[in-house]
Amino acid sequence: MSNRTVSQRPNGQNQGKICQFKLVLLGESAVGKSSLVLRFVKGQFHEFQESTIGAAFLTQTVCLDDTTVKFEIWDTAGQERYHSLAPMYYRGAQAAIVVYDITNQDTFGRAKTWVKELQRQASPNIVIALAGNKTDLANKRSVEYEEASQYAEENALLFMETSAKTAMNVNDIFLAIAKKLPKNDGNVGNGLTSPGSRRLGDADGGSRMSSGCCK
Amino acid sequence: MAEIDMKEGFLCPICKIDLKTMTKLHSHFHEEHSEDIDIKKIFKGVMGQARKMIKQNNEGDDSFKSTNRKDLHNLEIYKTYQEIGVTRSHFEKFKEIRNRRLEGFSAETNKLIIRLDKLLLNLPSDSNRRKLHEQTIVPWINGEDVSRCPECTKSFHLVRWQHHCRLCGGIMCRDCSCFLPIAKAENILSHTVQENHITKETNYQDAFRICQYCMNLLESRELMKASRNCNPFITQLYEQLRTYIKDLDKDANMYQKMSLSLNEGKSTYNLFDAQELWEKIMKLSEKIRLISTKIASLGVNNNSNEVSNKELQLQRAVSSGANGYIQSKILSLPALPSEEIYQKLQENRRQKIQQEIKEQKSEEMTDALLSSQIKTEYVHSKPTLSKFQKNIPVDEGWIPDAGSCVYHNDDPILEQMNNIRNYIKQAREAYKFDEVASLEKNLRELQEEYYRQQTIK
Repeated sequence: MSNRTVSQRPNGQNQGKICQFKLVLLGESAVGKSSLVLRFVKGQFHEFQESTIGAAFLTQTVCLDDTTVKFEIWDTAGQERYHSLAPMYYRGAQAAIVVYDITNQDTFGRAKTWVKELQRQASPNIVIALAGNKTDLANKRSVEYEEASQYAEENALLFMETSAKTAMNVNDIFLAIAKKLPKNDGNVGNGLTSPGSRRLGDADGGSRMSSGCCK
Repeated sequence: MAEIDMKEGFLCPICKIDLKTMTKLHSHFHEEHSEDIDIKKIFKGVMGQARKMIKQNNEGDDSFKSTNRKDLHNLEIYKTYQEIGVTRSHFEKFKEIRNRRLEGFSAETNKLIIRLDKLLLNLPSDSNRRKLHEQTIVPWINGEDVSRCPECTKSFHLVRWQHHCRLCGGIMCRDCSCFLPIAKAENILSHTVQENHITKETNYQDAFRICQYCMNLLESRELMKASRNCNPFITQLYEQLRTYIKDLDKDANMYQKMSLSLNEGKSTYNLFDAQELWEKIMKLSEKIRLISTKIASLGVNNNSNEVSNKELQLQRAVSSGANGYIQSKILSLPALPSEEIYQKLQENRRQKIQQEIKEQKSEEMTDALLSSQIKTEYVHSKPTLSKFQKNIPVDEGWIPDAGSCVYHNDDPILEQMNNIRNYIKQAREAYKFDEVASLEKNLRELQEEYYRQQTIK
């Protein structure tokens, strides 16, 4: 069955593996998480981006050599009142981008606590990327590149300084994550089988279904 | 060679007698054969002559001096299948000759365009000064050497004057000259194609007198320009067909994924959604079929539109290709389980999963130990940017519209549940069932979390 479908794909665009990954964005409010994803998903930038309520959900597909990587992006709200929601989104996520604002030292501090929380509570092999956003405002910089870079190195994080406004490094950071994500453990299968990375989640869902659906 | 004697002269087509003169032949034919003109015989006679001529040609043609010329009359050879011998493509030579010709034309046309441009620049309105201006740009041929119009070969005299083409300087008579209106000349020079044609009566003041040859060159250039910009009906149809096929591809892939997952009894996707998608696929394929028949019947029904053989061939190929595509695509799609079967499948899966969970739990324990080791293996590497630049996102991403209905609620979880419900609705409308699956999963998690909090309270 699957062989047949592969050969019938006319444009050959979907050749190779399709991997689906859950990615979560975390960080203090107003550091530019939503702007970053909006730039990545739609290539747009709004000067006055409204603050996110709860968590926004977006998807984007990128091509890596022979693999198609589909990101399911959960863009969480940075406001304090929504912090209780964050664990639901980083739980089961294969990747996380922790965003801070390079013009604001406090947001970098908050980013560090997010990283710590992820290391403690998220999936143990989650790929974490640190993004210093708003590099277009470099003249108001208060977090030095070296400082953040060193921190990232110590914690084995991907690190890039980005700008959603100028689109600098936005695609790159997502692609760097896509590259670093493991794509071999059962994610193969032309997207017909559910991704292995989700297997546990599915199983959980199934077990819950058995108790929950008869309510 | 000597099988058929050659005869020439005023031969009677029926009895093949040479009658020496035309009148004799006429009278002979009327007297002898007027009653019984046997068409068959005439036909035979004509065929015989044609054969003779072919033979003659063969003899004259040196390149066709084949060894098996005698075999040509051997009927045996026509009965057996003959293999194609050595072939050679003359396409390159054809292209070379054609290109040379085209280049010549385009060079000439370009010369005319440049001259036209110069003529139009600072064109004086006074007729005498204008004449001088025209002559400085294009030198006129000396009229003394030309006694006849090169176009119609009528001699020039007091009444038939010599006129000069303002673009090539050549000479023609009044009847053979064409007029290029200045407005049209400006139109030719502009890069955009203007739809409104100037069909004003041309008078000498606002037109250039040019010869037929230059006019032809300019007009064929205009035709080319117009054909480049026009979008015939068949291309419009074809483009539509392509977009439908692309949509169908996407939906069929999604459907395949869904039906496979449903047939395994998984609850990732909704059975109802898959049925809806199936209906959408059916509708799409119906649309494709409609367009393909439309394409195939283009120009066939109304005889006024002349459709060449090649065009018909193309139309048929497009339509049969589309039909073939639909058939192979639709046939390859697996069927959905009925609701009862699906419930059974789900039940089976649930039981299987119960078992797997136990196994996985134990695996998880060992995994956790291993992964802590893996983590230390991560090496921080700076990504090479130039390599990534090529890999831009392939698809257009998907964003639900959050602004359309924002629910404000004191409890962030309730708020988010409403958000997610809204997203699910939008994803379903956009036929994004992967997204629906993820969102529904999240909604379940949120619900559980909410119940947990309520029970704690």
